[in-house]
Order: sequence, then C-alpha cells, then structure tokens
Amino acid sequence: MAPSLKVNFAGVSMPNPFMLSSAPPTTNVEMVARCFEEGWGGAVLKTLAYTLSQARNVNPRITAVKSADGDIVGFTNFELGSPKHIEKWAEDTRWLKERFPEHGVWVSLLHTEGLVEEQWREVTRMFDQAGADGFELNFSCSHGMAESGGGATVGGNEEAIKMVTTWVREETKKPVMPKLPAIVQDIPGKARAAEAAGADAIATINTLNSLPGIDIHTFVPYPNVDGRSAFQGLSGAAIKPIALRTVAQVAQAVNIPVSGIGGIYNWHDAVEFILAGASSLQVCSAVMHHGYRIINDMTAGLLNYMEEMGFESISDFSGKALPNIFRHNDLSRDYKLYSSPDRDKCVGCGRCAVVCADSAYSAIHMDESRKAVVDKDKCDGCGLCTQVCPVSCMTMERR
Amino acid sequence: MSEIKQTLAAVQAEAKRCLYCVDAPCQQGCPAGVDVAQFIRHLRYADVQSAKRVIKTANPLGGICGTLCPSENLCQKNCTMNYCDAPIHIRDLQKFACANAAFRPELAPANGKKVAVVGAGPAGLGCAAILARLGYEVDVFEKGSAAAGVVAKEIPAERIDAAVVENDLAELAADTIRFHYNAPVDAARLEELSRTYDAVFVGAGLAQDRISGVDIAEGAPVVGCSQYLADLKSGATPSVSGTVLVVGGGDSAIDAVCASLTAGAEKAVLAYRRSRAEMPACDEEFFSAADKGVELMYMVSPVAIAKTAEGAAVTFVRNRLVEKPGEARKGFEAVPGSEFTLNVSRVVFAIGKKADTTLVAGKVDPDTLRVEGTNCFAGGDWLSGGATVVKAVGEGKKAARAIDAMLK
Repeated sequence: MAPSLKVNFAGVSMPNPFMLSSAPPTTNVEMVARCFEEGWGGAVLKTLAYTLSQARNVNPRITAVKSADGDIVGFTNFELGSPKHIEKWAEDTRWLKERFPEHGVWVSLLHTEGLVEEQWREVTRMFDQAGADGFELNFSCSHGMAESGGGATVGGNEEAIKMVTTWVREETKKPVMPKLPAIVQDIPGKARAAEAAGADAIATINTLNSLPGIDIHTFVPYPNVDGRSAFQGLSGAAIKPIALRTVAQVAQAVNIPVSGIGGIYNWHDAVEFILAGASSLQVCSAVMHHGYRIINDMTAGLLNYMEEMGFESISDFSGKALPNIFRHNDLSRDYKLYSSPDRDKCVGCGRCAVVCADSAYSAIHMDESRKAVVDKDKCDGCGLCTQVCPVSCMTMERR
Repeated sequence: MSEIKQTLAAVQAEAKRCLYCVDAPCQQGCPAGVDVAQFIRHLRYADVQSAKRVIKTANPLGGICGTLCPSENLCQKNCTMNYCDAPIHIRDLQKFACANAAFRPELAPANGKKVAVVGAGPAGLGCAAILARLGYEVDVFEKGSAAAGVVAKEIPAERIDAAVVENDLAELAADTIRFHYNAPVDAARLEELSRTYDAVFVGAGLAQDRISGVDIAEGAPVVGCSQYLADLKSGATPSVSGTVLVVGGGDSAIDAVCASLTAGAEKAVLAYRRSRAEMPACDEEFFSAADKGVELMYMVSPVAIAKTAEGAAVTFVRNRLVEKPGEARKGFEAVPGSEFTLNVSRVVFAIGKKADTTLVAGKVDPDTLRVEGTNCFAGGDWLSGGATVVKAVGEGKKAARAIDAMLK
C-alpha cells in the first residue's frame, strides 16, 4: 500500500502529523486557516491569556540566534499569551472548525497570574463548547509566564502538573495534552504524573530559558527594550538535540502518544522525532524563518522516506529508535575502532591531523603528498576526525 | 570567475568556505608569503583590521596586489577547495580587507644605518618598507615623478584604482622612508650610493620596450607597450582611432588592447604567435578582454610593417605549433607561403622589456639577491625580466632581509 501521512493523534484525525505549535505562527485564525490551506495538518493556537492586562507584549521581542558564522540556528522570544480576548478566540475557534473539519485545532491553556482553578475550568468549558479538538496545557513556557508562576513552573512540579491536568480533565472529554519542559529534574516522573492525572497525550519540548546575546558596546542583552532586557525562550535548530532527547525520555516513560517539538526544520528532522517516539510534530521556528510553505518539502520528504523504508503509516515507525537507547554503562567496551582515511577522497587540508593533535591522540599526520595517514596504534577510536573532514573521507574501521 | 561582492557579509560568506588547511598551501603560493589562512579567519569573524594587519605585515603593497594579483596562478591555484568545488576568492578577500581598515606598521627603534633604494616600483617599495620597519633610514631614488612604478605609470586606471595605490604608499612607514623623485641613478651614481650608504638595493625595473624580430619601415607608427600604456595613462596620447594592433600574449598585451578600446579605438586586435594554451596572460584578464570585444588572432607573427597613409600595413605569417623535445610548452614554426596583410592605425609591441644592464656589474646571488662582492642587492623586474607586482615585492623583502643580515 502507498504510504499515508494521515494520523489519528490522541483521537484527533489530521491529514498529516505536522502542526504549527502554539507560538507567533498561530497568532490569529486567519493565519491558521492559511496554514491549513498550504498543507499543515493541525495547529495549536497561541496560548490564551485569561486577563489581557497580563499579556502585554514589549517591543522588540524576537531575536535571531546565530552561529559564529552568522547562520540562524534559532530564535529567542518573550512573547506572552495572546493579547486577544478569550471570547473572541472561542468565536474564532468555532469559525475555524467549521471551515476545516478535517484538521486538528488545539487550544493552549492558559496564561494567568497564579493558578486560579476556576479560570482553568471556565476556559476549558468555553473552548469545549466552541469546538476545539483538544487542549494543550502550557506547563512549559520558559520565560514570562514561568516568571509569574505559570508555564515551566508548573511543569517542574509533579503535584502542580497533576492538579491542573485534573481540573481540565474534569471539564472535557476531549483530548488533554500537557506540554512539558526539557530542563527539569526527572522528566519521566513529570510525564507519568501527567498520564496519571488523565492526560491523553504529552507535547514536548517548549523553549529553553536563555540569553541570546549581549550588545558588546552598550552591554544591554538582546533584545534591547528601551535599555533593558530579560531572559527569553530559545527555540529552533539549536535546541533540537535537547528536544529529541526529551521526546525519547517521555516516550519511554508513558503509554500515551507524544507530540514532538523543538527545532524541526525539515523532513529528516521529522523522521528523527518520530523514531524517538513522537506521533505528531509541532513546528514554529522553521516557519518563523521561512514561512508556512516549508510544509511542502516536509511532507514530500517524509513520504519518500516512508516509501523507501516500506512504512505505510507514521505509527509503523514511531518510537523505532527507542529500543536502541541504553544507559551509558550498558554500552560495549569491546567494540574497538580506529579511523581510516580514503586516500583517493582525501583533499589534504589536514583538519583531521590538527584536531587529532590538539584534541585527541596525535594519531594522524599528513604525508608528503598531502594525504592523511592514521597511526592505528595511537588512534583511540574517538571519531572526531570523521566529523570534521570536509569530504567525509574518514571512516571508522573495526579493530 | 566573478568577483566577490565587496561587502562584509559577502566576504564573510566566502571566508567561511576556507578549510583552514594545516599546511596553508595558499601561503606557499604567495610570493610575498602572506599568511592567507590567518587573514581569511580574521575576516570570517569580521575582524577586518587584523586581516589587514596580517596582509600588510607580509606584503606592504597588499592593497595593490588585492586588485592586480593573478591569484588564479598563485594562492588560489594552491587552494585545497579546488578539489572540493571552487577555490576561495583570496584576492577579492584581500582587496576588501585592505580597503576597509587602516594599517600602521610597527617600527623598530632607529639603528643608525642607512640604505639607498634605486627605483620606487614594487620591488623597491617592498624592500624599503621592510627595512624601515627594522629601524633603517631609507632613501628611495626614483627617476620618474611618482612611486609605484608600472602600477602607477602604465596599468590602466580601469584596472587599478588610484586610491588603492595611494593607500599602500601612505601606509609604508612614511617617516623613515624619504622619496627623491626625478632622481635617476646611473652606474656612476650607483657607485657613489654604494660608498655613502651601508647598502643599496636596485629595483630599477625595465626601462625599455623590446621591439624586435620585424622589419619596420621608417616612420611607421610602432610603439612599445610600456610607452603606449604610460602615454595613454598620462594623457600624452589623449585618444586613439582606427584599428590598434597589439603584438604579444601577456597581461601587458591584454592591458594594451583593453586600454585601446577605452581610448577610442574602433577595433583592437591581439596577435599572438602561439595558441591560447601557450599564452601567458591569466584567464581572468583574458576573458575580460574577450568580453570587451577584443579581436584575437592566434598563431600569427608579424614579419614586416610598412607605413601607410592611415597608419601601417602589417604583413603576418601564419604559424603552426610544434612539439619541443623535453618542453611542456609547444613551440611554433612559420607556415611557408601563408603571408597576409592587415591595415591598422598603429602597432603596439608587448613582447617584453629590456633592463638597463649597464647599471649593475656582477653576478646576483639568487638566494640573497646580493651582487657578489658588493654591498648592492638587486631584484624585481630588473632582475627577473618582468613578472608580477607580488613577485617583485617578494624579492624586495628578500633583499631587505639579506641586507639586514649583512649589516647586523
């Protein structure tokens, strides 16, 4: 059978597993409608703010994080909940679901000052009636909300996770999906707490609290808000390895589906998140960087991969990498390698020789014809040379 | 090969491609020994000032070379990226660094010794700059009225920006180098300099165009390439017309055909005795000339030039290439009976230049450039018979180090 991207994620059917995460790309329903038209499978609307006065944004609030060579590797932001009335959002949610019955529309709860039970219950009822497909619980905002007792402050506390999840659970039969942070103690414990409180799925990760950079002449960190700055949430490619690790940890800990988030830029990233245990995917930074249109290369590449591998659905390969993740102590010490250059491919730059001399075992030198030569006896098999070679001419051979 | 856009962002993007090779083959390909990998790395991280320091420390005419170097045959030829995709555009990076930062050489305390430099061309300037940094007092004697030799006098303004030349000159070490213009040096004067200075460097360049091998009628409009380019640049020849024929196949010949078109020639024809493969002109200059519409004639040699009312009638013979035993570059021989004639307004000979061999008597040691048994040293085009600016600078530096070693 030809592969299909259709998913039923925690009871919500979607044409594909790609959703926009609750972030600037889901600022209003007109935008979400457009993203569906362009091919996205679902969306989590921007986190609702119970009291608008708490969600007043500053200018500017987004900073691109760049590598030493100037490539954008992520963004930081300190946007708060949506500065739009929840009544308006409820109306818009209804409008969106009428127009896109096949797509997944999730709402994200809730930006409040402190944890006020009645507010969570009231908003859940309101959006249950408005036709939202599911509820994501923002227990992971790493900046503004966390500083005022919500977001990651909840996500770092198992009792709080259980308490708030239970409030929402009791008000709706629709799927409830706590969104957990990546930097907390005992992530499996946090995931199990959510599952125990009746969650139908878990989303992870959210942004990581960070300082994106500092203006070295004015000494004000970015972004400069009239001479001041504050810590922000980091997203994008820079956080992908942390996200992948967290998704795997959560997927190993619970029996409910996982929505993977954090630096998914292309189909290859998507495959990795699915292999780590995700069965839906959420994207923000790549859209902030390139727009909704990236969905086309994501879905096309994912389908090609599934066809190549003989997978018919996402569930065929979700979590396939998990059995291969062990404790470090359980890895073999008898598996011994050494690096071996392909003389025909070697271009003679000597980067391998430099890094081996300065960061490893001085096992590589360049011969008179500018070709890398490895001293097998000195090589300790660390693999650094294979990673820095510009033409991938180094391979690791079994001793 | 298109030039890297001279913006920091474009330069950084290009610098990022550098593999930072452990043996820096680019540097080995630079006659002035510029630490190319290091300056590229400075640029990569936006430290233009350090990049310029690295370049100009090694090459006092780094700005000029950043424009004029035939780097496809030098640093870029050695770039490891040739084996990956395309070489780093090193010369364009150097151009940017030199145009966008200031350099002030560090000078050692005055050591009380004096050196005379004959000729303010690239070799002389390279030698003077290094000696000044080492604490020597330097007097430069230049027969013309400006420094930088062929760069200032002959190379067309469209190829080298006068501001680039001025910047290099201003950053030499002006306080300890004294320039004496309109100060020609002959053998007798050289002998005198040799007595009154601790050492003398002769970087006199090549004084005379070579015009030979052809039967030239009295009064036919024939001119040597240096003279032609100098007259165009100074305005002594304000414009040209008709068809200008340039005989030769080097970079100067390319300059002459291009400058002819700029000066108003209806047609500029380059006649070379062998094929493109044997032509010494670098690809970049050659293609730029071809783009401008220069006409090319390969495997032809002029044999006679007659005077006509419009200019000259040049009789050519066609050549064929012949293998020469033990030589990679092919030779040529005339094809009998293949003569033909071309009418032109003037003929420019760009087949090389001659040195004033009466100036220095004695053998020059290739390692130290010292004229055996004297305190005189020699380098640059005068010695090599004509090469690149960067090679001349390299020789000037080499002589400076040898002079320093001798006087220490």
